[in-house]
Amino acid sequence: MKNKYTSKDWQLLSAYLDGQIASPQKEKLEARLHLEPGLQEAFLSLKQTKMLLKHARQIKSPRNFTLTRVQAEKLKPVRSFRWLPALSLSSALATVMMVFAILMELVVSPAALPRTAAVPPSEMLAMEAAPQADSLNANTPEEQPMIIQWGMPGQGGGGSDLMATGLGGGDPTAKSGGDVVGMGGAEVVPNPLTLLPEPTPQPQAESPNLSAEEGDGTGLILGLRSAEDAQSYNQAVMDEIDNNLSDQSNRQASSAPYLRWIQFSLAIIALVTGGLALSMWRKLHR
Amino acid sequence: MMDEIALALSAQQGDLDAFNRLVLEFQDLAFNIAFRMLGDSDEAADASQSAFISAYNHLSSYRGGSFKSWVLRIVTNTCYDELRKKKRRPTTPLEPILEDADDGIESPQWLKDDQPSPEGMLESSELEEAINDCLQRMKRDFRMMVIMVDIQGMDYQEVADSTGVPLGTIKSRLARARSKLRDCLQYFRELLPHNFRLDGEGNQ
Repeated sequence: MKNKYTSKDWQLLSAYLDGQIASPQKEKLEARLHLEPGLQEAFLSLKQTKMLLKHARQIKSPRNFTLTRVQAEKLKPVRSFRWLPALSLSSALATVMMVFAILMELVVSPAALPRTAAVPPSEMLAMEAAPQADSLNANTPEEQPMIIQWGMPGQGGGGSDLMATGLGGGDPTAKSGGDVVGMGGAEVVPNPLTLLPEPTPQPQAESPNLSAEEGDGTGLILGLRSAEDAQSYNQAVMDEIDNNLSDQSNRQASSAPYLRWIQFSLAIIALVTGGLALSMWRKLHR
Repeated sequence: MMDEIALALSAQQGDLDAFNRLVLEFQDLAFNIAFRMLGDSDEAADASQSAFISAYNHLSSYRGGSFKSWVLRIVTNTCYDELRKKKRRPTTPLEPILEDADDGIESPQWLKDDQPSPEGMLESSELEEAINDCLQRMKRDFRMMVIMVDIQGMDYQEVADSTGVPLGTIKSRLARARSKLRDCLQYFRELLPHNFRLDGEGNQ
């Protein structure tokens, strides 16, 4: 008989037995009980079961569970910490938001910067300082005249084998570019052809640009700078570097100035609320 | 009729006598629920004592309303904790098991020829043992519903307040539990007085 009816039927019968069934369902079930003897039988079996359970003995407790004064004094009532869930939640939220803010800064900042900011200043300077590079590149490497800026005692020289603009040594390995401005100490690669001193050094017409007089494109060109030109050139290069660095830092700072404050504030909130929640939790579970 | 809310609020303010009056009011109910849940008198007494100590410790979390429901929830949770402990650390009794004490559901003592009379059956210890045995075979959530509704006579809302279980879940659990008990207590159902029998045959 048990399998004849669904669990829904049994649930209805059980609720009907306790008077916990709503009116439309109750009437429908009562109609079914009149029509279906099997269902009525199932209902009565539940009724019998309930009656048996109702006759289960009520046992008196073997002792009193009241507390004595001594017991009560030993038992310290636990203080209620109503704010514990809120503090725990706010600490967790603040931590998550802080991590998100840090990620935002990491993701957004490089994209916000213009492409030129990523170019190293030394490369920009090299490009600016070599207006003749196009013309040099137009020629075949064999036809390019070598330009050497001469007369820079104590500043190294060297660099690439095509053009040496020296504040120091250029990258001796950068042979393909041919126009690297070096900033560090350089290894001067002596070239017997380029180191021949000219009796009448050609003064640089334009300074600080590294424009040398173009020859016929086949010969050797030696340039000798005056001390003032070199000084002004160096100053221009240093100014340019400073400007580029300051521009870059300004852009980074201005890309998301509020993010720093948000991160800082969230960190403070997370620490304070987390600390309070932890201390409350410890007191609660003492 | 005792004003349980007023007493609970007094107890909250540190009135131990008020708390003890509440204990005296509900200790039998708490012990009976614990006994039916755990199936052992000593364990039930320990669980009841633990529950009332826990209630005293956490009086500050009582927010008004029915103290009975509040304290029964603590009793319920204490029983569940005890059942979990028992499951983790199963114990064996120290005293030897007597052969004739083996009255499991497969070969119960009440299946012997010397059957109790129907009149005395409801008072019999066999019925008591059978009920306990059937209850212990059930899942604890179903067991709790039957104990509260059918044995202790609580209504659905009281059970919901005491256990935190929704009303719909209570209905379905109770129906399944009753269905299992109906099969388990079939023998006793057949011995019930005639007005509780189905018909002349009384069998399914």
